[in-house]
Amino acid sequence: MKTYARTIILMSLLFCLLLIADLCLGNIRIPLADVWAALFHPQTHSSIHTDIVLNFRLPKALTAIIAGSALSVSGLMMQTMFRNPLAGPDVLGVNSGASLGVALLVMLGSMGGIVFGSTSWSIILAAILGAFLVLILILIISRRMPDIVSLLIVGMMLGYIASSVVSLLQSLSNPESLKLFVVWTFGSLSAVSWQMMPVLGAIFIFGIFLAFLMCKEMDVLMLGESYAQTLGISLPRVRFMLILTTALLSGGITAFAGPISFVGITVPHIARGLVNDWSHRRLLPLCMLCGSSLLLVCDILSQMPVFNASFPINSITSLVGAPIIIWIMLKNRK
Amino acid sequence: MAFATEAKADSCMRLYYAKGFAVEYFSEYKRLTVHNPWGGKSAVYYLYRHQKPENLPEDAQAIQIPLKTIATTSCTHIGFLDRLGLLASVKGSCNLSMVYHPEFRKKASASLVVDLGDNYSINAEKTLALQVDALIWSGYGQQDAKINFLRSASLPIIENNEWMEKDLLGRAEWLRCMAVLFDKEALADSLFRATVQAYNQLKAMAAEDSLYQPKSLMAGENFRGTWYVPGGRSYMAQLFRDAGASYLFENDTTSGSISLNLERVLRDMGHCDIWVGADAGSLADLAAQDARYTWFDAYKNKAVYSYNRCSTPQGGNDFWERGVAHPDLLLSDFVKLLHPHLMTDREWNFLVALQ
Repeated sequence: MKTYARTIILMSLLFCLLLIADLCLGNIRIPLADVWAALFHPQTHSSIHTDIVLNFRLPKALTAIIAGSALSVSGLMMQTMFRNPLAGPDVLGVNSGASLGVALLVMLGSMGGIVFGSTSWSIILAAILGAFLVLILILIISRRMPDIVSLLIVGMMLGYIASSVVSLLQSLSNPESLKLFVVWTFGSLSAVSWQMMPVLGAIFIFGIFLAFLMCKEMDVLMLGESYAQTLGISLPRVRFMLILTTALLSGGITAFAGPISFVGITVPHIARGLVNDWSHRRLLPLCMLCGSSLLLVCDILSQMPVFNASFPINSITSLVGAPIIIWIMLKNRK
Repeated sequence: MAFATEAKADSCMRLYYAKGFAVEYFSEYKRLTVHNPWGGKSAVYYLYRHQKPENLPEDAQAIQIPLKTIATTSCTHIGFLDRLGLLASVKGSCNLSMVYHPEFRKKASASLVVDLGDNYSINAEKTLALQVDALIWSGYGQQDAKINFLRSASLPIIENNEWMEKDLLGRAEWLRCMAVLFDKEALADSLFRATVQAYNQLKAMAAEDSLYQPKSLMAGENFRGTWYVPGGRSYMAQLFRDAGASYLFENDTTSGSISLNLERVLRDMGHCDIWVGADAGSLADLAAQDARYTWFDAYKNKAVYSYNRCSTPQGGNDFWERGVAHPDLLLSDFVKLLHPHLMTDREWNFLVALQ
């Protein structure tokens, strides 16, 4: 317990430092005083720096926090449900469904000469519809399939089907739509503006609330399904809730910020490695802190002034996260 | 959408080929409308010299002209700005490594022009910090979060969608749209008129060539088994048609590219006389890319051309700069290719024969 409290305090401090660093660092140098003024006296300090800090870096940092937390929590829930350390938010195929929605909008739309995509919301809506379609399928299948491993395989198959249709669309589409879609697959924390933040925030808060409600059930699931059933847990209901919450959190993030891989699979391992604890009530907050901190680090790195362009967040997460995982595993082995 | 008080424009710019924009002149300002080629709302700009017009519609953008400093997102704008003598006004540009213009590249290497990253993911912080009068933005049919942020930070974003025009001369006419922002209409008109005249003369010359032996062209390139060839209504097909070539897809209605597999390309284009648009430095390079290229008659007869006469190893190509603003130079190359006896005194501009 002592280790846990100490880890939470240290991670919270690290998180705060990273948040400040993310607001201060970017493609252009902004003095600390200007960052302070932009955040606390925006009315009196109207300048380009205020615009950048308040309307560009702050929503980006908030998105990093929300996405990092949501994906890590989704990953933890899937690893618990499937009792498989390699499970992540995308095993259900929900994220591939979101990609399919966007691919249909961007590429099929341009092929048929129809354009749906004139507002920022259309991509989000397409991704949500795609994710929702896969979610419904997986929920129906989960009702009929008592075996959890088969459900995992079905989820992966649905993901493969969605990815194949995306590839098919890519092979047929024109270079402009193809590039547009490829840029979307890079993921972008700056895609979420202040107008979108309330919707993303509401999805996030609701999803996290549901996740916390499921803590006890998830703890019992870790002991095995038959044991859980003897304790009076309704497996179909728990599965339904876990799938729904994961789809809401990871599908929501994919819809708003594009696909961000790796975070969901690895952060639960980082959290468990740090405290060596299996209680979900303790792991969930730690996962949220670790996930947000990891995405903040990735955002800082992807916006370094030495680079001209912003690097795709989706590749930075793996480049940064994988060595951390290897380090934790080596450390624990010792 | 008009002012509550404005009745009619004093005059309008008469456009000959371009469909994507409109310019109306009022006593105190000009109104530039850039239509949305993907459907949806047009962008309307009120361009004033001295005093901002009053009672503007809520979503209108008022921009003081002539612009003195700008940033651009596409190298196709470089060709227009160069013709108008306005390259010095460019302080930032996307994909700088893809620019061919030698003087502009020199400026870039001397850090006089800032690289703003990829045009699909512009570096918003650097763009805003440049403090230019406007960003000339090449749209792509979707809302761009970073562009929206720049717009909300009061940086005027002027759309320039010349690449969505259906006609080569229509695309070149966007020179006149660019000129409106700098009060250079008269210069642009005379330059554009000369381009149209030169283009039409070349076209007529090709059509009237009595010694011409019809030649068939194949185009496009292979990417991992799929060939992307220009559709029948693409710019390239227009050039082939205007130069008098026979092209397999001349009756096709696609304006982008068509994807085909190798078998179909071999069957339908294997015996074409000339292959244009191969992306290689030499015939040996081409064969090294894929040995099956050697099966084509055009390869066997050493009649393979690339567009890389004026290009840089990083991918900059004058084809996308001068070629956009000067379709007459593009056509000149194709007429020279198909009717060499008519063009003995003309130099090649973009095409180069692979050796």
